[in-house]
Amino acid sequence: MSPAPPTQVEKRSHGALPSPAPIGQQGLRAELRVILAAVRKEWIHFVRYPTWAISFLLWPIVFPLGSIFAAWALSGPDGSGLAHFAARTGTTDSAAYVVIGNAIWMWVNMVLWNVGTYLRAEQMRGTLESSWLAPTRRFYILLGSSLAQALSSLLFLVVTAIEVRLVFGTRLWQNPLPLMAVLLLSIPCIYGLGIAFASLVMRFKEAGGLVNAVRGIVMIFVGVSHPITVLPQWMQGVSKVIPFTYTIEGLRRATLTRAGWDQMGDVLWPLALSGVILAALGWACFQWMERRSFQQGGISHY
Amino acid sequence: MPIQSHVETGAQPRRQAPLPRSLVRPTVASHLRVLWAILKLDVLHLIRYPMSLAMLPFTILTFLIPIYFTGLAFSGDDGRPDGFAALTGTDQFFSFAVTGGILMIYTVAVFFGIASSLKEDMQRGTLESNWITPAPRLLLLIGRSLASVVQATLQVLLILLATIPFGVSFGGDLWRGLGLVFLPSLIGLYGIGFMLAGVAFLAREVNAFLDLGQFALNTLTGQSYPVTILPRWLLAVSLAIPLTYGVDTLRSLLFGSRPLLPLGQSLTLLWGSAAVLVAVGLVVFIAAERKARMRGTIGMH
Repeated sequence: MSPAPPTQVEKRSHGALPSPAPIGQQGLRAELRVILAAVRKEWIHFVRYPTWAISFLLWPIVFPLGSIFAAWALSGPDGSGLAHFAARTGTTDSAAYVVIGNAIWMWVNMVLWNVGTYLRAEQMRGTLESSWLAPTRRFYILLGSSLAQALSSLLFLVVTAIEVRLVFGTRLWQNPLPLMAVLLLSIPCIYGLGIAFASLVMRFKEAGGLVNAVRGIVMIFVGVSHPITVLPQWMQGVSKVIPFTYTIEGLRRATLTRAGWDQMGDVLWPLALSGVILAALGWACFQWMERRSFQQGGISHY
Repeated sequence: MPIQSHVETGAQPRRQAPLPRSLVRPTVASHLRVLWAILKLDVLHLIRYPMSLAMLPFTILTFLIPIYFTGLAFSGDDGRPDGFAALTGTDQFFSFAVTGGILMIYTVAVFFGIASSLKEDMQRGTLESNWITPAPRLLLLIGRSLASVVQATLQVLLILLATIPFGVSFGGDLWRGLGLVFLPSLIGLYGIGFMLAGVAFLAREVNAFLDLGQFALNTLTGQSYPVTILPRWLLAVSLAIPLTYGVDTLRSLLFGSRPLLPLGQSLTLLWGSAAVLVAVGLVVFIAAERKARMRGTIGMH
């Protein structure tokens, strides 16, 4: 039997077989396409369920109202309670004080729910395996989801600022540069935590309890509706290692007391350092979870 | 050989076979069996994914501690909330807020137990198969909320224990408070829960409504403050919500605070509104479910 005639490829390469090309293209452009595809998919999901409009328009004002009314009741008709509050915080604007704390808590909460449960939700829908079979780095898929969430959080914060201005008359953007610096430095902290959280949720397969734990810690220690100076000393120690304490403190200083750059250093440096640590933690947790899922075959476990 | 009937063969007809019975015999016992089966399913789910159960004590602390420290931020160095005492006549801010918080826990349990579990079933793809069982669908809904209510009760008992060191005591008229005030409030919440389940069928994404609904309800009914401090237009909305009287009357029975209405009027209002809310909730749920079946969107999410 005569040997098979050479193929076109073999003819072109003078008989040598070409090395197999990777299924997916590598490189920055390909990775960007993955991230943008994940953003686009999240965006379609976002507009497909229009109840998001309710969340974005009403939550910024409805969520802190309970704490604001409690603050008004505690202030008392004679203002005696408010005097104690002003002595501790340096401001009599208890509504804006509470709104800032609550907005950051909401941001963390949204990231925990949306980014933190992203992989688990894909797993429950049965689409995680097919996404992970795609010839790309899986981390970029989660990064795309985080980016989409960051855009919606930005929208949420803008709506909060507008509504606070309309309802309570407080301008939250009156010291914009320090304000932006605090927000920008908080992004790696919040999303690093979200990615680490998504990996933990894949391990424990139960998001609700973990979300409650993390946001509970934030609620207790970072001073969402109270100054951390009223906490016992050991709790103040815990507060100082949580980056969101600095986010809230920085925003309150920038907006309520119009602090300049010289008064923001002790807030910005801890935030920058925490950002590096939490972003690295998110990456490491994802790698651990990915390796563990492959070794134990738990990708499609419900 | 052809088969001959007993008429043709002249043989005596056999006793007539009984008419086929319906697929289910609805009795109290069968309904209880349905509820038991769903409760067992949800408890199994809780045990299989124990994180939320394990986190329960922690969740309670995260609820109590911020309230306590917010009270301290507005208090003098002696820890007495002067402003609050001047407004309400009592310096028990923490007890006042915890009572509202307990009703909030049940609001969450009922709302999420009914409407969110419906959404969960849609996502898991089990709603259609549950829906074609010969069990009343309303019973399926109530069943899904049972585990949440049991969990909420456990949570409340833990809260009562955790608040003892803070000097909180619910010794006042606890049993009358539970039987006369808490029960109709819970029934009314179920009525709203049925309505939300109807919304879940049509909107298919209901968590935003649920979160917002329970928060709005807690804010307007005075979770940790007297509703009299609300702006006038908001106070009018608050006074139109029956649960406001539930929270207020419960506080007056437990701590002797000044109620919005005399006890008799409050109770009439609470029981009457519970009946109306359940009736309206049922109508909304049945209409929405029928519409979803006509559209063929029951299992879609």
